[in-house]
Amino acid sequence: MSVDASLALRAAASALAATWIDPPVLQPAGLYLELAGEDIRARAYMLAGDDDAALCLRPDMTAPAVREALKRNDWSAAFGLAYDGLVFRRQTDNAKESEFRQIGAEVFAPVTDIASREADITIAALDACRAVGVQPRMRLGDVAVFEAIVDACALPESWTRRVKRAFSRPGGLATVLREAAAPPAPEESILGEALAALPDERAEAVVEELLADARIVLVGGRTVAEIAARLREKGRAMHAPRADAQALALIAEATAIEAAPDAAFEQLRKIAARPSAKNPTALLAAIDRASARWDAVKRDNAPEATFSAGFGRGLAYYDGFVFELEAPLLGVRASLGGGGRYDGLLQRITSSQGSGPPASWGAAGFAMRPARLAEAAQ
Amino acid sequence: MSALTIAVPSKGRLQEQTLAFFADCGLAISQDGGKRGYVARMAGQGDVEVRLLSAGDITAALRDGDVHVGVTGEDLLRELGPAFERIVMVKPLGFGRADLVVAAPAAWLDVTTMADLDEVSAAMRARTGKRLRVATKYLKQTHAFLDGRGVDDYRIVESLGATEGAPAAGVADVIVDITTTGQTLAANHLKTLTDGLILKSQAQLAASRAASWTPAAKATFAAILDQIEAREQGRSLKLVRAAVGGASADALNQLIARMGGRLASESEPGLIAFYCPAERAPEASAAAAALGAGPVGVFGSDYVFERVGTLSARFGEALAPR
Repeated sequence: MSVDASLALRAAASALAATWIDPPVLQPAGLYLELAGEDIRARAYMLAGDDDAALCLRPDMTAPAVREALKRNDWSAAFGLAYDGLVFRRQTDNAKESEFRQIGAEVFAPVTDIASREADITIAALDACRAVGVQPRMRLGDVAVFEAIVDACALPESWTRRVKRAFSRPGGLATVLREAAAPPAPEESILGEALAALPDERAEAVVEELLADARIVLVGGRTVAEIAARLREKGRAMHAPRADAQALALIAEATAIEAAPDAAFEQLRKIAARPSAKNPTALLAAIDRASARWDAVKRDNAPEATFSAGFGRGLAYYDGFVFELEAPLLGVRASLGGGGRYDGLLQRITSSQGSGPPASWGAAGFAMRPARLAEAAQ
Repeated sequence: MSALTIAVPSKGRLQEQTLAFFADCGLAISQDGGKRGYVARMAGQGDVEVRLLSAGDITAALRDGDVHVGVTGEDLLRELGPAFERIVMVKPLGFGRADLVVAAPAAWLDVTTMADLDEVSAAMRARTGKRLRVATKYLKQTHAFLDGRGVDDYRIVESLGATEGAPAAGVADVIVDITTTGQTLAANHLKTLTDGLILKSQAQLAASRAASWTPAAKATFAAILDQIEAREQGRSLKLVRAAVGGASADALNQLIARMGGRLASESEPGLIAFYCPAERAPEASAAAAALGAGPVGVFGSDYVFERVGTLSARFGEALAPR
């Protein structure tokens, strides 16, 4: 094989995106802190500066590409942006690169169209690998399937929220499921219990009066209405049913499945048929979408692949399908890149910038590492 | 050049208490060139240079090995992050006490624990897309603590000045800061969370592994530690001297052991002397008299030196390459 890895990846990106962008290497640190949380301080190179003006070396190309899309600010038709540039990540493992090139493409389209592009994006990345003689192993996941599993179980509202949030935290899911199975006794909240019996505006008035009597000034970014509402929620929780143990077991089992995609979908469908999955309709629909996507990817030439509803990747932007391509021979550097769907990221950056696409737009893309692909091709 | 450099705080209450501590140990620090000088000497330790620096600068100097020893707050030392490994905390000094805590608005009647804060931060992010803002100058300890409590929908707002005012100023929702009485927090309409204690801090006599520990530096610091320990022992012990009289030696020895005391003399005919924990000295003396000894006198001791000082020995071990 004499095809250059960079050329192959650039061709794949070009096929998805008509416009090449060259976003600034220096990006606002605050953007990444909002998107990825404080952990980013340990993972990105942050440059000193006042917090709001602080900059960092871009740790990825996805968020900078979204910023370029917003700068472009033309939402009349779907479009794609391609890039080829350096990204920078602090590594604790010396075998991993702290500075490396990423080639990729991000596709922006109305949500009604974007789903049909997901398979194209996956195939483009896969074909670029094959063009240089690499048959990568593929890991697939789908955050939407995960969320549908949790929703299907109809847990008490607060547990649904906690279980979903735990997804992107390493080891978080197991911890939360353990806590949900044996929750501490709900905290006594006599005030909450009393407020729960009142109509909304009366409850707020009580909180207002309590604060005024104690001469406490409200500081911080919450309203009295929010405080009163949560007190009432705590009051109600004192008498709320606990999370159903069988439902929790179902979530643990469903997220632990890691198998060849068709087998994994089959197992998930069986789980959706159990009585503990109280609302299986949306879950079955999510499984069908993941399954259809896989059918499109494997149509010509099925790669070696696994699917797991518990698989998420990278900076935890992704909220739909995700994939990663690996060359196992490269050991700790096996990951060649990956991609996925990130409608939420698009919306969050948009809301922080004040202008952007209509709410019904979504985004998905891939980013690959040409140096590792070239190494895998040797 | 001096063998050993010690940095002490250059201002405020921490300076007063540090100077008083060394003076009490017979290691009075006197400033060269009047009050304004930033280099000083230590009584009885000709080989020591004392530098007066701010507590923050002392922490940095310890990290960089620019001084051998320094007095500074444990809260600042632990904020060094991975570089904290270069620090040996030789002795907590019992002053400069303050708690590093998580404090939320007092008006948040629904928030009393870290679990509440976790839920509220998630709800804020879900509703506004913005993370809970945490004002602090203790970035590393805040991150480690919140991470350990599973809170992750937050963002640190680095504060350089009056952190406790940040929520009232509208630039933060909660804070992580040091507090002694909680009054400043209350005045700013904040309260500590019941399980929001990150660190009980106090002033530490700390040494830097990164400094160049010549044999002379080690010996000089060991001598200072021995004197500090001797002073502390002297204060906590009384010397009890008694004429043996009609008391049996066995009965007296058993009494000394029971009182946690130790013989102070090898053998003085007809006399017995022992060190006894100060609070038990009257009881021990009365008991000795009851056994037939007497007269029994109780004396204060300024210093009690041991053959091998515990502090200096422990420091020597801590400094040894691991």
